[in-house]
Amino acid sequence: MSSSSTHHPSAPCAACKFLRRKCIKGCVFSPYFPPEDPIKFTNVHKIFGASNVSKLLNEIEPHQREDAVNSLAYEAEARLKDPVYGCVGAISVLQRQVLRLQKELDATNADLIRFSSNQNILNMPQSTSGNYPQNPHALPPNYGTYSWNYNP
Amino acid sequence: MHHFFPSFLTQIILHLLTQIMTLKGGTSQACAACKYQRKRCTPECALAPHFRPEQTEIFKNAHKLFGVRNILRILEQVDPAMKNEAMRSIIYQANMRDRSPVHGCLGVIYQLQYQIRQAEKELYTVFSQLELYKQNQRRQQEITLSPMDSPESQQLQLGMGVEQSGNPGLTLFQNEVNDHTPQQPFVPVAAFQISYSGNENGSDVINVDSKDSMNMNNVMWGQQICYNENNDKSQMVNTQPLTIQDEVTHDYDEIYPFFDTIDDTQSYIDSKEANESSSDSSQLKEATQSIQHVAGNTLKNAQLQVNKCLEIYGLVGGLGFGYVILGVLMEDIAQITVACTGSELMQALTFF
Repeated sequence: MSSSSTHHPSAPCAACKFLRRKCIKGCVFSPYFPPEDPIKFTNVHKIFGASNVSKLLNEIEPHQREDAVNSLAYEAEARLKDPVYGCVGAISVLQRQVLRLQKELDATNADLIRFSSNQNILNMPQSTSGNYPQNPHALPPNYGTYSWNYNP
Repeated sequence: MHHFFPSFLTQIILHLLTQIMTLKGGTSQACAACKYQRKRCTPECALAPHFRPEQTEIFKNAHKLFGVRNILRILEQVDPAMKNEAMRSIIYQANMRDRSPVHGCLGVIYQLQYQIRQAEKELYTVFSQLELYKQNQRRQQEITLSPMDSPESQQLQLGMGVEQSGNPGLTLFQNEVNDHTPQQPFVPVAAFQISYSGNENGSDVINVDSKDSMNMNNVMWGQQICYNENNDKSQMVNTQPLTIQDEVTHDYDEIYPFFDTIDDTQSYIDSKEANESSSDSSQLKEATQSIQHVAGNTLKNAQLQVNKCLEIYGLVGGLGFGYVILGVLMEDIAQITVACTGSELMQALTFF
């Protein structure tokens, strides 16, 4: 009777409870499917099946198994909610968002270049040919809206 | 005997035999699923349309993750019209799991979230910078239109201008995001935080219903399903967003020098001090040094920014930026008078 564990040591894990079998000491599921959360295993079993999950877990290092189980649980839940796309739907949404942000960034950076070069033209004193600020992105002086007559 | 058997009949019989063999799954092979299971591939095989005979590796991944029975169960649950899409997503998911046995699709999601966060940060930065430019431009137009009364009033105007504007860049961005994001307001991708907890946060993420999904026919993830049978996993999944991000970062690195790290500006300052040969730079240096004395570290950072600005955008741009920064810091620094700063900088101005 360990007092620090979250559940009674002889209580079967959620997996063994679902599968109606004895939860032995070295049960591969028990650290990751506590009996308090039976839905987690139910979902995972519905989509992937217990034997596939146990094979998967056995191929992974023990310290990575919790992450693996959590990702499987997430994917299973996603697939139950959306049988057509599952978690791939979320990936699709995120990909579109990335693309949209990239486009927005491109457009905003283009605006920035335009602004900075225009301000360079505006700010430049008339007689400072030698001290002309070396803006690598400067557009030609007569570009765009300003009719600045650049005479060095 | 042979010549009694007309050749055209031979042809017909051969043709019929070919048809029968084709009906039985092709003269070549059974589908990858039946091949893997070592069974006869019948015309009714539900997996045959989705697994060509050569796609043994792909089927192996799908079988490893889901199993034939589970795949068939999923296919039975969806509309017949969506079976192809469902199968594509199953194959994609299985391939991701093969590529990354620990994280699977979740790894892809994490990567995308990271990219989104980075892009949002960058966008916010660029917006802020753009706003600064716009304000600067407006101030300059005001100055051009109305004559300057005194350096003090000008500084005050410029100083106060920044505080009133708040974060317009972010507002712009918020509006943009609110138009497009499906159901959530703009929060840094926390809304997509993936954790299995069984609570609402998780379900918000996953809740993409099939109707929406039907518009995803041209989604990018589909393009990565060409899983290379040569087991070259590096060609697989979507590295494109990552590539795009890298390229963009590389291209635009030069554009916003304002936001270089303090270290960069410090090294700039060091090199500037090393080149102290002409008197104009020393005059400017005096002006900048006087700022330093007044405020200590807080202003020092601002001054570094100003110097960087001066280098790139010339004196007036640098002054404008300096005024802006001073305006922002005015709340923190009680002792600095803008007039004092302005007069020293005006000194530098007259030199030019």
